[in-house]
Amino acid sequence: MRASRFVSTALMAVGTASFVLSFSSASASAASASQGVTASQILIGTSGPLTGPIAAYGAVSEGANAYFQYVNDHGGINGRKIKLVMLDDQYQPDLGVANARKLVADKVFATVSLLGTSVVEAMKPILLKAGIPMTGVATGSSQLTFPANPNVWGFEPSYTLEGHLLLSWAVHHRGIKTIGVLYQNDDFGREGLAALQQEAKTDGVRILATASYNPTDTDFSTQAQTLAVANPQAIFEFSVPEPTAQFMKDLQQLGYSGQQYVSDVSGDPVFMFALAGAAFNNVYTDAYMPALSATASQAFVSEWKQLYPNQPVSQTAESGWVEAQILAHAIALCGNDLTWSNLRVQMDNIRHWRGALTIGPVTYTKTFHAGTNEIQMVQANASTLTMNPVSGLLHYHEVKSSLK
Amino acid sequence: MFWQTLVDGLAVGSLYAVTAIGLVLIYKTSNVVNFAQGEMAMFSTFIAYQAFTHWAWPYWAAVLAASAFALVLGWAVYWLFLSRLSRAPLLSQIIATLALFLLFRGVAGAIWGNQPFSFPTAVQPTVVRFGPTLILSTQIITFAACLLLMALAYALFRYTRVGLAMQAISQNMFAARLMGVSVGRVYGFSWALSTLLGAVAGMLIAPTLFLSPTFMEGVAIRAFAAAVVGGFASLPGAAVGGLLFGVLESLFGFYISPAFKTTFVSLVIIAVLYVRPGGLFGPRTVKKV
Repeated sequence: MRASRFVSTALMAVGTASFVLSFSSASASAASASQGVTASQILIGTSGPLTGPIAAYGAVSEGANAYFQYVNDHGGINGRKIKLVMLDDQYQPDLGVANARKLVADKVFATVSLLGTSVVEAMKPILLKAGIPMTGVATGSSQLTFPANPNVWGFEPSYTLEGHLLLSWAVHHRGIKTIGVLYQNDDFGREGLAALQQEAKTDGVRILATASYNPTDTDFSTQAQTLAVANPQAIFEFSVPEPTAQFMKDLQQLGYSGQQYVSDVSGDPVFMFALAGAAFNNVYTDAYMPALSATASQAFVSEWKQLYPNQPVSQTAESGWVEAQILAHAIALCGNDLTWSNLRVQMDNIRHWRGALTIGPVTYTKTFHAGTNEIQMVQANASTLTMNPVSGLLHYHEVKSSLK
Repeated sequence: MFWQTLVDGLAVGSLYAVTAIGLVLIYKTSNVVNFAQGEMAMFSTFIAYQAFTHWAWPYWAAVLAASAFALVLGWAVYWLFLSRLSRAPLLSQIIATLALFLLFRGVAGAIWGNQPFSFPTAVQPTVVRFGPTLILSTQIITFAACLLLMALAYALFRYTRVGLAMQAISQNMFAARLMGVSVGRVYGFSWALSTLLGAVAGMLIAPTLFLSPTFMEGVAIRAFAAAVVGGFASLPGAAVGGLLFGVLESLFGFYISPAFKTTFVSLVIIAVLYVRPGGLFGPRTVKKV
């Protein structure tokens, strides 16, 4: 425990690139290892929407792949190279199930960046039955991480925490008293709505109107009208990028001039400015990773451009990179005892780690598997096409106190 | 607010209508239901996107190029695939269009990528006010373009020699052939025209739905429903079906529940078919005893 803390602190100081190098020189004589691990290689699996309706999110698996390439180019971890099995599930739970079986048959050591609440829920029983640890699941659904499952680690801020935090900040820092809500008619949207309703009660905020949509809808003007007619001071949106962008354009045409707050699901400036244009200007969201223009992001940006030159550099891809960083860190901490039980111990021992490309440190405990503790409020700026920070670090577990 | 909802419904409904007319056109002449209709429209729209964004052509040149491409594409699809299957059972021909659906989606994804792109509008969207009702200039253009296309398709079918030939083939292919109608040419023509209609709908709806290999999916499904409710063999039926679908979705979504608007409209369609199995404009089947 103490030793691993020390290692973790040391890593924090030297940074990611050098720790990979320093470990790569260590001998790889395997003391003990679980499936998917040989003296020269570690097999990791992932599945994501590489094609299909939300293929823009396929960038998450590719971001993870980019980080593993980066690690391999710098010598691997403890002399072992990482091989990532990337499968395509098109955001469909049934294909996810088939991919889960394939990953079990391939005997992967762990998974990373599995994406989408319903897909991950479908894959979970199969992977867990085989004992395969699921790290960095790319969904903010709190049902996956609360209460903590010993073999599942999340990373993105949960929609519940997002809902509480966005509204609480809007109330205390932007004087918001009345709101409207647009939400996707599924677990994702409803979790956000429930959090907003609860926070509204606490803060004495009135919800003037709510409107939901289905992901397959082709027209969002009725939702825009419902909310524009109610004319709240701010509209909160728990929705995926394309409908959100369309909704924002409709709102703009209807002349709505209040504030807008979106879940970070639709907070990627690269995608949102391309789709919604000026209608995305001044929109607030929360961020858990530094902007792509930040110095810290440059290792990711250059690796991505090299590996995927035809695809936009996005925060979506950056999130896969971060999830891979955390898994790689835990694997490095395992040393030569690369077993499932040791990986669980090392994951749960990650405390206040600043080696990943995140705004706040990364923390897991036996009972807390959500990963990020801190986020920052950011606001879209149409002239620079970036999200600019408008708050300091906000702590999840003490939302109120940090805001007051 | 009622008028606003109605206007929004008509605007989106007219796009369903044009896509539905494309479906009906092919069905009327060859009895084939073209499942690839939406994907062929998507592919043609990508051609306009390519010309406009990557080759920096003016908007109208890009639209014309994509329209010409659509005509060629429809013709080529007929000659390369459907004409080879003309002796195969009808079901095989329909399954072939399903294969084309997957082909176009896959190829578009490989060429342009699977993320959504923004697509330009014909004119800068400006708001026209009629009292409390807001109408967008783009909505007016969409609606007018769709009305024009519907009228042209109807006139063509009704008053031209090609239209007459199409009618003759759909009634009796062998007799038509004996009368000197070139069946292959007429089929090819109807495929080309139908693809053009789809492409125009695609280019009109891409600014709102954003262009991606899957963006026509929702529209194509609603166009199918619209065609069915209109009787599948009737051009005015498809037009009315499309407008009806758009307006009902919009009204139900605003006044009752946006989450269940599509479900509700689907229920209405089932109810219509229950009462009139041939659709609103379809033939009344009378059984002689």
